[in-house]
Amino acid sequence: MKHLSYQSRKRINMYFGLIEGFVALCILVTTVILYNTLQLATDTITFPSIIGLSSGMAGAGFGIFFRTRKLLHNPEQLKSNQIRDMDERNQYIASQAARLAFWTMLILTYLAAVVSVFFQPALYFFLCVQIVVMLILYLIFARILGRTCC
Amino acid sequence: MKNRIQELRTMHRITQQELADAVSVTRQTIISLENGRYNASLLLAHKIARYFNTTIENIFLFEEEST
Repeated sequence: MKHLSYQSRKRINMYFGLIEGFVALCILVTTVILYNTLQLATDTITFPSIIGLSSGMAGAGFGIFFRTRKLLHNPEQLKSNQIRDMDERNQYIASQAARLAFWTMLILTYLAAVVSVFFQPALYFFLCVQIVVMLILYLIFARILGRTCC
Repeated sequence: MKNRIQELRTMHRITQQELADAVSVTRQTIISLENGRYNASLLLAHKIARYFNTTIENIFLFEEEST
């Protein structure tokens, strides 16, 4: 697979931000129109939640777009960001942090499952499924990375 | 693994930032390398050796691990 340059990846990231912002804005506008036309005043969770989530998504999407656009117009800042993002020590720290976070999360989920079996059987089954899914995903990604990168 | 990066850098009168910019890493990476807290990848070792116009073995001192 051909590797994209840092600048190209940032450009793709910028357009994804723009698409995300527009999609979220469309959801927001549609929700507001539906909320006003259907007059669902009794629904106090769904509509406000959708409005909150889509506003956040729109803000994040447009934020990514404008920040990346500004970055692409500043070659010095782009170079500095590239060095920071591609620095092998930073990548090593990020991968070690992710590894530690994964195993800590798995152990905490297991402990929560053990405790929840006495109080909430439904939660126990949910947490067990979560643990199994996490382990299956770990094995799948380990296999894929073993074949492709090393 | 010990290395002679600090010694060579001082000899060539260059700063950590200049070396970091030349081999496309952050200054923190150079600091960690000099302190021996981080071992460079083969690619970075090659870049540093090429920058100082010498060999990897001349900069990075490999030691047999005692068992």
